[in-house]
Formats: sequence, C-alpha cells, structure tokens
Amino acid sequence: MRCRDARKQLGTHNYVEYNPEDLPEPLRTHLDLCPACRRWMERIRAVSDMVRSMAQPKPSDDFTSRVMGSLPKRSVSPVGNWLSGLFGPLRAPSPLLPATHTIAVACLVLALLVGGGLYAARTGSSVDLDMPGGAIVADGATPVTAAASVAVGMSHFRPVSASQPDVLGLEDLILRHENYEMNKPLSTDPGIRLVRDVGY
Amino acid sequence: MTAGPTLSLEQIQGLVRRAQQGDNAAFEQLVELYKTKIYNYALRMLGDPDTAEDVAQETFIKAYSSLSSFRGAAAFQTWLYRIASNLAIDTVRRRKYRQNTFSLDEPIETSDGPIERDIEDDAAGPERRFESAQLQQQVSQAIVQLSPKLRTVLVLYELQGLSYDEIAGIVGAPLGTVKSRLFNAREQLKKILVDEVDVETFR
Repeated sequence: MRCRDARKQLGTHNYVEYNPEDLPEPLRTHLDLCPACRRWMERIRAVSDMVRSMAQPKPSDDFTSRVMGSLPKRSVSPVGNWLSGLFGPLRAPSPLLPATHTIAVACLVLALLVGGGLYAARTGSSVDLDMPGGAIVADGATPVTAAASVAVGMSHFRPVSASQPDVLGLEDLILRHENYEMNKPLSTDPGIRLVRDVGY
Repeated sequence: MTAGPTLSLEQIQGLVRRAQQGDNAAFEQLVELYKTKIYNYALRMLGDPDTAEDVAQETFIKAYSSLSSFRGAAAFQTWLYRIASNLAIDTVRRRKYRQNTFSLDEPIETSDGPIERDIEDDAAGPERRFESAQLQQQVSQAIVQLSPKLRTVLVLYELQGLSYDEIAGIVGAPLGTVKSRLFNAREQLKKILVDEVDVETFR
C-alpha cells in the first residue's frame, strides 16, 4: 500500500481517531511498517487535540439583553400562520433565503389578478381584448388600473385617466357609446372600462 | 467543547413553539441556552471577539424573524448553526477577511496591549505550553487561515462537538463531503502550524 493511499483512507474515514490496533487491514499493517505515516497520523491527531483544547469563552454579560432589545416587531396572526403553512413545503432550507417565500406570495397575488382579470373579461365585455390599440380608461388614477392591465396580460392596454379628456378621440366616444350597455367594468373599480386606444 | 443545553429535547421544542406564538420570554430562554455555543462558533470562524459577538447577536435576531418558518424538521440547534454559519461566511467574504498570516516575531494584540510572543522551550511541560494564551492565539490564527468551508466543518466538529450528520445538515453537503472537508482542514491546519510551530512539541 502506498503512503498516499494510506493517508487518504485514514483521512476519508476519519481513522485518525482510531487506535492503531483497531484499524482495518491493510492500513494497520502499513502503519506498522511505515514510520512516516505514523508520524503523519500523530501530527494530525495533535492538531485535533490542539483545536479541541481551545478555550470556550462566554459572550458578554449583556448579550441576551442586547439581543432581546434588538428584536424586530413580529406579528403573529392566524392569516400569517395559514399562509406560512400553505407555503411551507416550498420553503428553501435556509432561513436566510426569504426570497422563495416572497415569490410564493407574489405568485398567489399574480394568480388572483390573472384569474380575476380573465373572469371579468369573459363575463363583462364584448370588446375583443386581443384587439390591438385598446386602452383601459379610468375615471381616476388608481392602482387598480395598473393591476388590471397586468391581469389581462396585454402590454398594449394602458391605463388612461378620464381627467385627461384630450386623450379620447371621436372614434373612442363612438365606440364607448355603442358598447356602453355591453361593456361592464373590468375590475371592481366602476371607473375602468375598455375603449380603443387612440395612440396616446 | 461547549456545554450543551441542560433542557430536554421536548422542553426545547416547547420553548420554540411558545416563541413561535409570540412568547418573547421563551425566546429569551433559547438565547440563554445557545448563546455560548453560537458565540464560540462565530469566534473561531472569525477570530475576532467583537465581530463574533455581532454575528452571534445577528444570528438570534435572524432566527427570531424567521421563527415562523421553522418547522422542527431539523433540530433547533442545527437550524441556529445554519443561520450562524451563513452569517459568518458572509462576514468573512464581505469584509474580505484575509488570511491572517503572522510572524512569531510579531507581538500579539490583546485587550491589555501588545505582548511579545514567547515560545517556551522544550523544558517546559506540554500541558503548560498548550494552556498558554500565545498558543491559543496561534491556533486561532491558524484556523482563520483555512477557507470558510473547511473552517466551518473543523470548528463544528472539533470545537462544537457536532456529529457528521448534524454538520451535513448545517452545511448542506453529503456526509462524504463533510468527512473530506474535515480531513483537508486538519491537513491544512497541520501544515500551517508545523510551519509556525513544531506541532509535536505540544503533544
């Protein structure tokens, strides 16, 4: 047996912690015959002993009070627990990777928006949502407009505020009139409905 | 080796459950139970008491923030070590802790001021030599010269007394990798110490 192989085996199987007589063959025989490997093993053991014998000091006396004084506010709500349980299996093994949790919640929100948007589109509008040049017109600036824009999944729909009447052309007004009864609000915001984009 | 918590596993699990429900007194008990272990782990990983204390505190604060995500599949201790390990390695990398090479001629910085390295001669007993603060410092300095991965396994195994399985759970590596890293860590540490000090004189 070569010294190199012997040392690799000794190290890989942590045989350095064994008594020489407990070592399996052919390691035992090799160590009996090889003073260099015996010396090597003794040195490795000496290093282990040195590390193990190091002092184990205590942290400062006010360690715990400083930790407790630095704790962030944490709300424990039933909803939070339910969500936490729901996404538990998706969690990354490391607690320092909150991104997975955030992504899971973001997916839920996105799914709700897409689902809600498609439902509203199916049930509430005769306007072809795939029609290019469409726009979502809102009576007031509201975050829902942006969300609905994402929900229908079309980048060519854009939120437009009705407080800016100059963005509505004649064609839009005609279309709005014709479809007035048929168009239902795209979202719960009654100010949102679909009209043709006029290129603004 | 650091003394372990005196509570039973069930008692610790009970504390964790209470802490998860918002009982800060229970969390405080957990901090008391594990603070010395986590601090020592950080100390040997970083080689600097002040930074080690910061990392240990941060470990508990992170643990508190993530308590709701702890499911108990892993032991609380393993979970804590995992947080501490990530923070310590991040600190090593962020601050670019360079390999703290040192010369035996350099004085050792202590809280009481610099002291000269005094390598005792062979006439002194090995136990006395080994207990000297200088040697402790040398070993500590040698440990921080190891790569973070090797250092983590060495400290967890030799100083914290964890099993291979626990270490594998903490570092997220197979058992064979843990053993291999431990072997490499010992081998490298031996080389460092033999270069600086004749390791055999400490046996």
